[in-house]
Amino acid sequence: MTIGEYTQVYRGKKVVDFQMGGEAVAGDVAYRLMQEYDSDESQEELLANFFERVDPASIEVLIIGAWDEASGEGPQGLIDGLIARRAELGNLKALFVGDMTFEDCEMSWINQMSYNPLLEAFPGLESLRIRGTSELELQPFTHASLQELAIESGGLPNEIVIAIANSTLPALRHLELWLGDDGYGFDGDVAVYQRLLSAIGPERLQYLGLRNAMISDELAVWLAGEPWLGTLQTLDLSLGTIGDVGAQALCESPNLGGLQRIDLSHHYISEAWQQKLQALPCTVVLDDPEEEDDGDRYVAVSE
Amino acid sequence: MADWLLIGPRGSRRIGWLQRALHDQGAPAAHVFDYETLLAEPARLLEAIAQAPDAIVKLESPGEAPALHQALVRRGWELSGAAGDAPLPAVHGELVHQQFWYAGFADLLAALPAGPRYLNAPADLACMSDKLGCQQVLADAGVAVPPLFGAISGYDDLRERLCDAACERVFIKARYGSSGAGVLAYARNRDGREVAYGSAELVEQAGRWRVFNSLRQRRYDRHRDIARLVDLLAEQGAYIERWIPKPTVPGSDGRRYDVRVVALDGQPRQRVARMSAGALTNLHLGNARTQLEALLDSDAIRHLQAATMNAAAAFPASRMIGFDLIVRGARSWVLEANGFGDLLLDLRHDGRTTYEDQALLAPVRPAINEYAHA
Repeated sequence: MTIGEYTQVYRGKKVVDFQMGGEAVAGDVAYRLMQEYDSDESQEELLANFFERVDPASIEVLIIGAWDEASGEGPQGLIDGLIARRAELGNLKALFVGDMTFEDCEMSWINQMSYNPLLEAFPGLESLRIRGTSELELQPFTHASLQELAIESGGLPNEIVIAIANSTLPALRHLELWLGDDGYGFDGDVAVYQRLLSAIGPERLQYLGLRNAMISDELAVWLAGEPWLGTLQTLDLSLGTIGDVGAQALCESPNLGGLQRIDLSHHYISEAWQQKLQALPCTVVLDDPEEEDDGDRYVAVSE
Repeated sequence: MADWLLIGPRGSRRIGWLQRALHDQGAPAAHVFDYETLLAEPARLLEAIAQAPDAIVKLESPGEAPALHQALVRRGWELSGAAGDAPLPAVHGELVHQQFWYAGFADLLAALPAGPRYLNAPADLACMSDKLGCQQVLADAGVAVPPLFGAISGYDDLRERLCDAACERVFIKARYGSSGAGVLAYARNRDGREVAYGSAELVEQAGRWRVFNSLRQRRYDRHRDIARLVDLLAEQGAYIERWIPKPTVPGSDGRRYDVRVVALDGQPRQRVARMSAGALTNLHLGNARTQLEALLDSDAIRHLQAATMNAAAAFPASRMIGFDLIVRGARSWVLEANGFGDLLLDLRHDGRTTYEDQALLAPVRPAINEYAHA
C-alpha cells in the first residue's frame, strides 16, 4: 500500500492548496504549499509569493506539500525561508512537511533534511510532522513547547529514534513514529523503543503511536507489561503487522488502566481474538483486517 | 438527415447503439458492412458505397471481436515479413502482438477508397490508433500533451532515455493498445530504487513470461519484474511520456480523476470525470465516473472546452473524437485522442448522447464560421 491521499483537515482546519500566483482564501484554513512537477519558481520564490498574499503573522498552521523533484531535493529553500521570516511567524504552532502522495513521490523517497535549525528557530512550535526519512537528520534537541512530534516513514533508522531519546521535550504529549520495513531502512528492534520510552518518560504522553511497524506483536507484548500503559489515552499500533500474539498480550494486560483507545487498524488478528479485544473496556479499532501472504505480513506503507 | 454506412465488426454493439439513435430520430437505418467481409472481399465495400453514395461512412472500433483481432494480427505479421512462427491467437486478456495488430489495421485503413464522406478519415483513425504518433501530431499542432520521450525498445533503453531526459517519473504506454491496457506508471530515484504501477500482470507459463491485462492495479518494486514487464511491452510497441499527477477528488479517499470529452465537428460535447483509486484512470477498469461540474470551476471548464477545440482542430478530417485530458486549474494536458471515443452510454449533453448527436449530424461538416453565429 501507499500514501494515496492528501491531508484534508489539519489541526481542525480545512486544507487549501497554495501554488505560485495563488490567492488568499477567506476563513480559518490551513494552507498547503504545493509545486508542480515542472514549477519554474524556486522554493524561496513560492514562499515569498505566499507571504505577499497571506500575512505571516496570521499563520498558525502550515503544510508543505509536494515540492519539485522531492525524490532528489529536500525542502531546504522552504524551511530556510521560514527560518528567515521567523520574527513575523510568531503564531506558527504547527508544521507538516511532506504532505504528498505516491503520485508525487514514494514516501520512502521523499528527501528530507536537518530539522534542528527549524526547531531552534521556532521555540513556540507545538507540533511538527515529517513525512519521509530519506536524508532526514535530527540531533538531540531541547524544545520547551513541542507537544506533538510525528515522523512518518517506510523505514525508520535507529539514529532518529536515538536522537529523540536524547532530546529534552518537557511539553511532549503526542509521540508518533512510523517504523516501516527493514527493506526500506528500518533497523530497529523492541529494545530501541524501550530505551526511547524510558528516556522520554512515558507517563506524560497522552498518545503513543508506534505505527506501520513490522514488529507490532513484539511491541504489543512489551507495552502490555508496562505499568505506565494505562496512563496513555491512546495507544496506536495501526498500519502494522499485529496478530494474535500482540492481541493476546493486550487482552491479558493488567496495565490498561485509563486507556481510552487502542488503534490496531491494518492487522492480522483472528476473529476469536478480535472478539476478545472488543470486549475490553476501551475502544479498540480493528479496521482493515489483512491476510498473511504465504506466511508473510506487510506493513501498510512499505515504500 | 444523413444517410449512413457503418463499418464495424460483425455483431458490433456500437453499431447497435447508433442504429437505435437513428431509429429514434425517425431516420432510415444505416447500411452496415463488416470488417470480416472487408478483409476477405474488399471489392464488396465498393458496391456498398455505390449503393449509398452520399452516406456518412463511419468506421467503428475493431475491438471486442477476437477472431477479427487475430485476423488483423495475422495480416500485420504477414506484412512485416512473416518471420518465425505465425502468431497464435491471444489468450483472453493477454497483451501480445499489438504491433502486428496495428500494422494489419493500418493497412486495412490505407486500402479504403478515398471518395466517401468519412465521419473520421481513415488516415486519422490510423494515426489515432498509434498513441505515440497521435501525441506527436497533437504536440506539433501546439496542443499541450505530457512531454514525450519517444518509443523505447526495452528496459535498458528506458533507463537511458530517463537519464537523457533527466526525468524520473514517466508513464510507459503501449503504442497500439486500447484503453488502459499495458500502461505502467514508473518512477525511479537517485538510489536506483524503482517502482511501477499498472493493471498489467506478469505471468510465467511453461518457462515463458507473458503479460495480461488484469482488472486490479498492481505495484511492482522488484527490478527483475519491472524489467521483464517493460521488455514485454516494448516488444509490441511502447513509448514514454512524463508522468503528470492527476488531480484528486476532494473528500474521496484519495481518488483521482481525468476527463473524457467528446468533440463533434470540433465542438466539445459530452464530458465526464473518470475516477480511480490509483495512478491510472479508465472506465474499463471498473472505475467510477462523476459529474465534472462538481470538480472544476467555471474557469477550468472554459479552459477545458478551449483545450478540446484546439485538440480537435488538429484532426480537421475527423468529426467525432473522444479526448482524455488532465485538467489542473488553468492547465491541461491531452493524454489521448480516440477516433472511436463515443462509447459513453447514458452520458448526455444538451439532453443527447453521443449516438443521438451523431444521428442528427448534417451529411457535410458545417464550416467553422457557421458556429460563430450559432
